[in-house]
This record gives sequence, structure tokens and C-alpha cells, in this order.
Amino acid sequence: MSDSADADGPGRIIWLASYPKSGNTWMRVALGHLLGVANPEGDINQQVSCDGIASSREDFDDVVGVNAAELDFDQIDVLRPRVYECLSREAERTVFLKVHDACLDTPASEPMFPLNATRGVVHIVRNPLDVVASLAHHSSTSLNRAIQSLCSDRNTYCASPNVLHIQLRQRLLDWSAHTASWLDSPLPRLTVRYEDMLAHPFATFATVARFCGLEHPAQAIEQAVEGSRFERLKNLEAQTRFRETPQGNTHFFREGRAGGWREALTAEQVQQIIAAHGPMMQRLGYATGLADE
Amino acid sequence: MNLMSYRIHGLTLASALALPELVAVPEEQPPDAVVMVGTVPERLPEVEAEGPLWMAGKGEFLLAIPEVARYRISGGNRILVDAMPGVAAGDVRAYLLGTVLGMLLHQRGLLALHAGAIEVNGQVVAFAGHSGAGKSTLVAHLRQRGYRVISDDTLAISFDAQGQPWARPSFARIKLWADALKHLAHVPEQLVRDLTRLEKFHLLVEEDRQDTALPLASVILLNENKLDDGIHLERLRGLEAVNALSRQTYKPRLLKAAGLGTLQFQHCSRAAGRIQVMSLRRPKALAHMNTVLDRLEASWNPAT
Repeated sequence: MSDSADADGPGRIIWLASYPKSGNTWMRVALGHLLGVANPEGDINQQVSCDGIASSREDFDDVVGVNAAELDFDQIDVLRPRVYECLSREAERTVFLKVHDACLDTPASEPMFPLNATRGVVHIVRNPLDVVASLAHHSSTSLNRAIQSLCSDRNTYCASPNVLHIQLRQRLLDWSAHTASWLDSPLPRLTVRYEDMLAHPFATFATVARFCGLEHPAQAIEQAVEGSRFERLKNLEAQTRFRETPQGNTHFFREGRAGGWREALTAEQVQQIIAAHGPMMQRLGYATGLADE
Repeated sequence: MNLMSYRIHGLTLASALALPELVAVPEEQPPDAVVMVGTVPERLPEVEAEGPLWMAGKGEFLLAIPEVARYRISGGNRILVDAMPGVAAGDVRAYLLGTVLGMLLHQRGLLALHAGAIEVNGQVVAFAGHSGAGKSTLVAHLRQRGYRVISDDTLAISFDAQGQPWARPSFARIKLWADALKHLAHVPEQLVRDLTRLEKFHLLVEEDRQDTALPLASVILLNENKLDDGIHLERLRGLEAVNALSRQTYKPRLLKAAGLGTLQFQHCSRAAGRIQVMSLRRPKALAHMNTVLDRLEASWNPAT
């Protein structure tokens, strides 16, 4: 349940786990700068770097030898732990993989993200009231639709049976269940809040670096914080299109702040989210009274 | 056992299983390979490398699809199929005609690319890319513009004495997902389903059937352009072309496990010296398809 001091699992993968629109990309920029794989002088597309995403179709097809396109969703899920074990076994250093899936068991009743492939989990959370507004923008959908998806225990990505998605199907569940699945997993884990990354970037990121076993002087941490500063990324994005921006959207980096929900959501929408997710919000230290400041 | 004869990838297969996706031919002796039905062990006698569903041994390869079948591919000329009881024949064939046949091509020392292909002016233009890159969809749209389909997923290539690569025709069908079919104005429900559990169908292109190898002119690598800045088609040269091509070999990990990685790399460097290796970076949305097709056609029919 509680945070671990170190990512001391027996495997090589550090999962960068989050519900969508919770700061995962931001974390990857900071890590990219710390690891020296982001280019401080480069354009926006040279800022974000990690080793891939857990739902990569390409990695799955390569390791399994049979294309995911020839298997159904359950068969794919059963095989995913084997893919991660293989990637971990073959890795020559720590591998950072982004994950939006909930941390669930496969249909074969074993963990999708196995301990023997895992070094640790950096779990990023954000106030669901702000996630909603960010998600609505990212998915070019209404706030009410975004709220629905945060409240649906069937929320999935890349799950249409009628097309070949670029990624594997991901089961997210609703926001509370997604968050609980990672908080309650037995993997060595550090949970960080988006709001703390924003308010105390140095301290928060220094903790992440320590957890990941990245021993760097304070100056390097400061540079990573500067490299991932929101205004800087937004300016870079104004000059060059960011490849992770969904088609039809003009920009990815939107507001990068906490509390934007006060202007974005109606009282009714706020109540709806709190009614569904109040207990988990409280568990993470997010205020659930409307008058709270 | 009564065997039926078929042609695919320039090979004659004598098969104990009916393979309606392939071109049936009069019995010919001897066949290049046989497909038999029998018991396949859970493990090969000598396992040199293995993955979640496969193992490689000396000159042998085993693929095990849970609840469907086990397949043993040996010596480049023998496939043994051990299907679970009650499994739909089409499901058994889907893997047989996919990974299994691909490994047979590798064992025979052919260059096998993960590529769809069409005929352009008597030569072959191939489109390579991973699953989901858009090979089949592009090939199906090119067919609507009148090009003959040579392959939709796996392209077998051999070299003649002068080192010229020749592309061998594959199936008379394109596998497409329901949404892609609708965009082509086909009704999925009227087509043969690929695997019973998936919304993927066979678009038959019977009239494209042929059995003659054609010179390979170019391999175009399919990449998605996520930057919204148009369509880019550029030629790769030298080592870059060789490396790009070798990344597009069919199942590179299985190939290496079977000890055939070096041979395939040699094939790729030979081929790269004789063909154009190009990179196509384009938006993937179907709304851009016609512009992409125009651009491709302009590249092989330059305005005079």
C-alpha cells in the first residue's frame, strides 16, 4: 500500500503508470532530461523520451511470434506478462515503459505486470476534477463524455473489434479502480501527485530520481526540472507540432496547472465526480468539499 | 493419405488439409513441401531458443497456438499440423498460412519480407511495415486503381544467377478489418471471416491470381507521419537501406532463433543493391488515402 523507498524489484522495467492526462508525458520529459536522452536544444519532439509503451503492438508481435492481429483480446492479455519478462530479460539497463492500463490480472489469473520483470512503478496521479477537463480537450469530446469515461468501469482504449489499433487493447476501468489497482499492487511503487510535481518540482522529481536509482547531483535534477518546465514545453510546441498530439487537435500542452476545474466544470459536474470518486480522492489528499481551497 | 496440390510463394505444397485460399494445381511430383496431419510433441527434442508460443531446434521450428493447434516445421519441406479437436478449419489455416508458412520460407533460405505488394508495369512494388502499419489497406486501395495484387502480408523473394531479386505471388486475397472494408465499400458480412473470433475478413481478388515471379523493383517502408506536414517519399541508400530492409524481414526474432539471421541480412544487402528502398511517411487517416495514392503513382509514372 505505501510507497517504497527504492525500485528494488528483481526485473529491469520501471513502469510509468498513470490514468491518461495525469502528467505521464511530463514525467517522461523530466526523466528524458535526467537520463540525457532528451535534447535540451532540440524541438518539442526531442524532449519526450522513454523506451516505449506497455501496450506496444510491435513489441508484442516481435516477442510472441504470432501477431496480436491473429489473437483475441483475452489471448493477447494472457501473453502480455511473457512479453514483459522477455523485454526485462533482454534489457541491458533499466527500461522505462509508459502504461495506461489498470494493474490487473490476466484471464489466466496472474499479474499482467509481473514482479519478475519489474524494477518498480512510478505511479502518477492527478485530481480527477482536472483530469476531466484535460481529457475532454485531448479527446476532442465534451466534459460530460469525459466524466462518463472516468466513471465507467468498462473504460478501455484501443478496444474496437473492427479496426487494427496501433496499440493493444488497454483496460482502464473507472478512475478510482484504476488508481486503486496500482496503489494496491504488490510491486515496489512510488506514487507522485501531478500537483506536487507542479508545486514542488525539485523535491518531487528528486524523490522520483532516487526511487529509480538515478544518482544525480542536484544540478542535474535542476536541469531536468527546467527542461520539463511547462511554459518551455508549450513554447516549443508552438514552434513545431508535437507527434503525440491527437489528430484534429492543434496542441497537446494545454494549461499545465492545478485547479483549472473551478472554471471549467459546473457545480453539478463537480458533484458527479466527487460522488463517484470521493473516497479515492480523499485517499490521495484531494479536497472533496466544494468550499475547500 | 490423399494429398491435394497447391501453389503459393512459387512453391508447390502437397497438403492433407484442404487449403481453399491457395491456387489448386494438378498433382506434381515431387512437391516442394508437404503439409501433413499428425501428432506434434509439446517440445522439440533439441530446443535452441524459445518464446511464449514457439521454439526453435535443429532445422526445426514449433509453433503452439493455445486451443487451436501445434505446428512443426522441419527442413524447409515438411509441416506437421496437430489441431485440437473441434477447432474450425479456418482457424487452423490462419496460423498455418501465416507464421508457419513464413517460417517454411525462412527454412528454405528465401528472403521473406513482412510486406504487401502489387504489380506496376510488369515489376513488383512492395509495401513493408509492422502489423497495423497499413499494408493491406494500401494494397486494397491500389487494387481499386487497377493494380494487380501480388501479396497482402508476406512477400517471398528469390535471387537469380545474376543477383536479380524476384518476387513470388502469394494469396488471391487481402485480409482486412471491418472498418477498412467499409471504406472500400465492401460489406464485411458478405465475405469470408478470417478467424472465428475476429472482425477480420478475406477480400478475395481471384482475378489477380497468377503464379509467375516478377522482378522486384522497390520496397517502400510505411511510416506514419504524425507531424501533419504532408507526404514524404524518399529513397534510402547504402547501409541505411540494408538496415531498413532487414528490419522488415518476416518475424526477425524467430529468424534469428532459427539461426538464419545472417543469411537474411546477406539477402537484404543483395536486394538493397538492386532495388529502390524508399521510406513513405504519410498521415494514416483514410481521408488522406487518395492523396497518398496519387503521390505513389506519380513516383512510378513520372510526368514526361
